[in-house]
Amino acid sequence: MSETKPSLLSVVTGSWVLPVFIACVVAVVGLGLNPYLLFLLTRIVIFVMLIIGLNVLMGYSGQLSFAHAALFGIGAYATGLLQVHLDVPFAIALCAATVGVMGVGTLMVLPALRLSGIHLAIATLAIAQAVHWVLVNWTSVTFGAGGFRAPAIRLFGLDKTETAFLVALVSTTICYLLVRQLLRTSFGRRFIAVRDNAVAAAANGVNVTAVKTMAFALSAAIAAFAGGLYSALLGFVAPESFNLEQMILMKIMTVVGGLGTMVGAVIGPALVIVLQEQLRESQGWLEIIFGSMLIGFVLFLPSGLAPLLKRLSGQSARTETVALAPRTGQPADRKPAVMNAEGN
Amino acid sequence: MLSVLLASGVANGLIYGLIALGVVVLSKAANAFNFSQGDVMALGGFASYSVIVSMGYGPVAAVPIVVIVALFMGLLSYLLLRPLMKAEHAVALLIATIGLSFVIKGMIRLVWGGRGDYLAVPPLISGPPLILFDGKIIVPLQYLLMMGGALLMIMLFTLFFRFTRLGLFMRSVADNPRAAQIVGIPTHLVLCCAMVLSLIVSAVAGFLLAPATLIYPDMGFALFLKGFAAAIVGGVTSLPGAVVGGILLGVTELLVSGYISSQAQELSAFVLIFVALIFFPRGLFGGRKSRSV
Amino acid sequence: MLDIRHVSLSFGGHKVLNDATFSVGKGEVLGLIGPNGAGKTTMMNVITGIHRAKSGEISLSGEKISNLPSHRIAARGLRRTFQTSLLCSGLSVVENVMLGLEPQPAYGFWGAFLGNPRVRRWEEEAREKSMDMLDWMGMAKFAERPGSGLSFGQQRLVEIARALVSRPNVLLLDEPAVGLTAPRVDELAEKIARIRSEFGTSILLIEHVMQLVLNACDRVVVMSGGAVIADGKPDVVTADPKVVESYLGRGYYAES
Repeated sequence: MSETKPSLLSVVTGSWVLPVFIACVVAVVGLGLNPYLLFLLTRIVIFVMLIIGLNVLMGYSGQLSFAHAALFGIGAYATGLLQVHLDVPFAIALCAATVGVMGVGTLMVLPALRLSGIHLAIATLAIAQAVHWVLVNWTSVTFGAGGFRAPAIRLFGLDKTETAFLVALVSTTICYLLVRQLLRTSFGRRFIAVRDNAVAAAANGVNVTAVKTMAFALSAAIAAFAGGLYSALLGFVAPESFNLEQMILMKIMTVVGGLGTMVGAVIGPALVIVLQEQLRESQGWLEIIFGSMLIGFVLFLPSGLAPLLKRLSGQSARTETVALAPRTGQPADRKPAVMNAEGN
Repeated sequence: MLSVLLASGVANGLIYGLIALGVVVLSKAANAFNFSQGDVMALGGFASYSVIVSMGYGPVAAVPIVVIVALFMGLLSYLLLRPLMKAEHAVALLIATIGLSFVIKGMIRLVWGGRGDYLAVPPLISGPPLILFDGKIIVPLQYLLMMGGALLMIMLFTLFFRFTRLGLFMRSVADNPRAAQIVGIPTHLVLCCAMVLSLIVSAVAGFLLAPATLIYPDMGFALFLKGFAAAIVGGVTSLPGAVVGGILLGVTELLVSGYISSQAQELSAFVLIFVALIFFPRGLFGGRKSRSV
Repeated sequence: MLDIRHVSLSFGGHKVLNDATFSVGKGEVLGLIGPNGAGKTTMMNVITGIHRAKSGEISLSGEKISNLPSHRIAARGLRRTFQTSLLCSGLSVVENVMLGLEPQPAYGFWGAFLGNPRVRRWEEEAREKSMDMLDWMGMAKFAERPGSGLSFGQQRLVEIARALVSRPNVLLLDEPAVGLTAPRVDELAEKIARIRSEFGTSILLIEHVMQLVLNACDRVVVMSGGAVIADGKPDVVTADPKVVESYLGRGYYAES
């Protein structure tokens, strides 16, 4: 791999200028679109935030979780329900939901965090299904399978969708910048170390369980915030938006964009949601195409599209990227003594 | 009535056990999990629908067709997933099989109808239900067939793993692929067989189950989860464990449904998985190999 | 500096470590040798907290570390390298070395998010320290390569740099000379001597390559079947009949 030369391109993309600029462009373009396209664009923006969070957990820390659609859902439900049942204003409901979900989500996963790889994945799957069950069945609070109407927010005389769009865009841009900055510090290194070689990480002083917990908590908070925004966008919250199929779509977004890259978190959702729109009519074809994409990317392009694009634009695929197919860290987690013959 | 609940629980449990068997076969032989197994099971059910209902042949004709379909799917799955069937790619394999699950589900939807359509496969056996103990236990004949079929497959597989060369090869490959290769075991062939066998088991389970419920394209994954739960509870490399786990799950579900609420029934599988993973990651009949935690 | 006292451990009924006792003194280079299956790597894993000993005690600078988790032991100043050195492939070489500074950073989570000046300063200093360490190892020119983009021998040197950058009190090296050619082994011995003289680090070295053991070690401990069977100067220990027997089997010494 080539060494990074500090080119103008990398300096510009490295700082906060480019993301903010792109956000402004998107804002201007978005406000000029018809309501339906704007709705779609806002969906993309919200999912970008969600995938940034999921990427922190899956891409950078290498932990597989099926729970994020559920966390997204609880965020949406909590924000909506706080407004509906308790008349809490939107902004406060959103913050409360985020903190609450982060706490509850982390507590739920805590016992499972000692596990790794497949076992953790299955445990999160169980949690996700349980949450879905609660959302459907706790009808007194959650209004059951039919869902409920969440109040819309309007700012400065803009309509519901436009407001949601701008709020989401600002939040997502800030989230992007903050997370990117975080990943450049020792926290980022810890995440990657835990992903690539947890035993070596521990031998260097990294508290692996604490790091996994932090990755999970951070991604849960982001998912919850995105969920709250989603409730405002849709104006309506129902369990079917947060089920396993949605979770798998999120996984596809993450993998297609590029596990372990910030740019991938933007490309993935955009591509998948646009494709989803095109294939809206035929559920069967949608499933076949997305399923094949997932298989294809895992087999042939495990680092996703982002590094490919970076390489095309002349930059070296920075150390953010995953060099190999997504690893559990299985050989790394396995203690060296097990790899050798016993005794030595 | 407790006995009715228990009987249905055991019947369901045996089917879960059969699914779990598919999970365990693959896990034992290839150290891998295939999340599209449930959808192959659904495929088995749909295939039998086509044979029995659309084409009008009897259930006996459906069996070889189901097996052939499963064989084909097994070969296809193996070819696709081969590069990922190594220990360090366990997560990638998982994601890929999820993709495969989507693909199969989509295919079923395209071939057999739209979303949410429920198809009914007629019972494989017609006749009065079996009545035991003066009416205290009533077992519909279809359930008896399910149980019988499940038990038969379980026995066949236990014998297979213990006494045939291929079964021995599978166990060696799962234990230490490199050593198996050095010793001359055709690893790839073995893995392929493992995949095919596990899918055949799943498809046959689908065939047995289909008449007892309405089939629909989305049914696969939910069932897979239950079989998977059963396998984890019983110990993911233990054949008897799969059966015990399955029965345990089936009975728990029915008991919960009877004594708590029918809605809570669905929850029991997930709670069981979670508890099992936290407290006995190796399952009741645990594997010799300890997964380092 | 590092005291191992009466440490025992069994894996599934098989006694892997049997009442092992030895010490590494301050600034000393101790070699740990023995035939395959003797328990050397297990011993190292127990010291670094990967396995928990059934009985016995391990202390570092007089403080007990026996039941601490790996990362706490590392924080106390005991670092190691691994037999299969796996640098983090997602990090560049210099970032890998910066990892060795954990659990240090002088900033918290929120500071990291915002990227305030304190964070930036710490990161720059950390990078400098790491580059210096890489330079010392002769690996500076590979600094920006991804961790997996080096040859095995080069990775090992970077791993040692990573272990040293925090200036630990004790350094454990797990078979560092495997696969090295003879001149490289001499270079390694020289480096080990320099580590001791410049940083004052105590070193425990597991090794099969005798050339390194004889050149670099002040003292040698021999393990066989989980127990310590000899402890002394290299030339004395290697001539000890018990040691020869453990490597070559009974009857050899009698024949020669």
